Amino acid sequence: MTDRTVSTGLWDRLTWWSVALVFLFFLTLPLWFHEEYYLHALVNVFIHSMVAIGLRLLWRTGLVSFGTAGFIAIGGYAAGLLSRDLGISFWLSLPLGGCAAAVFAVAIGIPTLRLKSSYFFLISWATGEIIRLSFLYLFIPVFGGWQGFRKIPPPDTIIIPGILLIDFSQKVHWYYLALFLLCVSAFIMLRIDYSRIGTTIGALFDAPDLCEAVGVPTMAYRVFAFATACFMAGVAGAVYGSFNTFLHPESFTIIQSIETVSYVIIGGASTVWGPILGVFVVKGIAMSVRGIGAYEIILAGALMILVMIFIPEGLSGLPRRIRRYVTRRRVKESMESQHGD
Amino acid sequence: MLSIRGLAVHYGIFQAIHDLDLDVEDGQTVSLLGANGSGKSTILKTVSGIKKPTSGEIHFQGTRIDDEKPETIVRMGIGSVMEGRRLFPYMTVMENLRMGAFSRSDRAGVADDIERMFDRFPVLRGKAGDRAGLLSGGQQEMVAVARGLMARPKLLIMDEPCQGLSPIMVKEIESIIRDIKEEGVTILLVEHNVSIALGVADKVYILQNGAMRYEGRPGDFSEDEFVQKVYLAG
Repeated sequence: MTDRTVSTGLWDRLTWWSVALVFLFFLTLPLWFHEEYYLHALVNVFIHSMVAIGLRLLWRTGLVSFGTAGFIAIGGYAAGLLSRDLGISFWLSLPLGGCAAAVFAVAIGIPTLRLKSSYFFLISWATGEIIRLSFLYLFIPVFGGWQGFRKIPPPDTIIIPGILLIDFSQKVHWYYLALFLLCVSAFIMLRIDYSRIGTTIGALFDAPDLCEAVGVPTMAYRVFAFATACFMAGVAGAVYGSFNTFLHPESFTIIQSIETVSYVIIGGASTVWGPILGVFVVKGIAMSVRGIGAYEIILAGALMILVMIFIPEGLSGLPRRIRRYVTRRRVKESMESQHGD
Repeated sequence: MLSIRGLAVHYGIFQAIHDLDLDVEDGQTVSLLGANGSGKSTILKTVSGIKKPTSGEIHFQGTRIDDEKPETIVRMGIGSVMEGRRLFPYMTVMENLRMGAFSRSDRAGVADDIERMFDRFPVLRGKAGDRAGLLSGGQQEMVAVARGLMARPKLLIMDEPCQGLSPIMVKEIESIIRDIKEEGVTILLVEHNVSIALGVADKVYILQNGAMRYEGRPGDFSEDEFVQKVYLAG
């Protein structure tokens, strides 16, 4: 027991140091790296990471949603309407976009989250498509239909006289906004992970029937996880819309939802960092091979299959797997040398 | 304390329980006996709200509970120790015990009860930080029982607590059940081991193909006759 505790403690410290170093890297990146293409791509990576760590929470309850893109759209359109048509500040529209997605998730989740995971998969997929088609064919004067939802304003300028002026006219401003929101999202998710709610959600994945037997209101936890995941997706949609100044329903198809799931599978759901790693791997490969475009989903699918076969716990579980392998080898060598003596 | 009347339970089109009546009085230990597939575990799942009945009524301390959610039933005072030493395998022993007290809000009381559980099961004290899934079968059963007791149940339902355990551990678990009984906790027990089921019970029910076949006291027949009734349909 002692050995395991010590090694886990060391492992945790290593993980936290790695996270701190990676954070420091991304915090300082725009100071010495100015290529707009990559900064733009990294903003998208951070936005997708927010969606992925939200989806991870739902994954941990044992459910998976294939309608996430629809909830990104709800957040994007809601925040866009509020800021463009009603003149509400982006800083208020942002959480309200998340809330709109979360409220819709609760309305969908209460009747459907009690179903088996396979049925929930189908319903979430159908929901995502209904949302997308609604933005395409309903209230065209409001949502823009095939023309898309245009002229979404950027966030209000942040001014600290003499010190700071952020008017979101440069990519680097968006970069820091997206990085900040990702850090806040990761912090919230970590707080949930280490709380009683997080422990219970983990238990729900391992043994849902046992949770019921000890008195866990399993439905309430599933609805909470689904609503939180959709809130994150909604906030990400709000940033995405404002960043691109434009939304089109075709950006929120089942393909985007599947890709979001692939981030969780490829990166691993055991830690908050796993899905972020998943986004970086998929988007990183896509970025390094410019023009991969439509083939990105094929890449994500292939990676997903490979990871599921060879590293079911995801890429974030790889170091742990290597560590286990090394320990086993050492034990084997030690036993062999004892036999030799 | 617990009264079941006219209970019917279905799995799809298959009827697992037929028009069943059962009573458990306050402070009693009641054993449910029957061959595999006779519906014992289904009754326990239905009482704890995990499985919903097709028809019939279940009353606990005068309140009808057959339409209540499992978490409500736990809060009303029905705790359970599930079949097969079901634990949260990736949680530590301590976390498993805390999960057992999920329905309680008195933190000090929960901390006291965890201490009491470690006094009752001293072997678990040194394993408090160990993952429950890595314990031996006997220790896992102790955690399962301790977790069931953490809810401070008025009625504890136990589903085959001795299944797959060594004879020494079976004796240990039997002694634990007796201790719990002496503390005044009412127990509804499903156990394949006829000797233990009869040894601790005040009342025995024998099920066959989902229907109640016999109701009586353990002393009404010899152990061999019970075995014959349960397994040989004698």
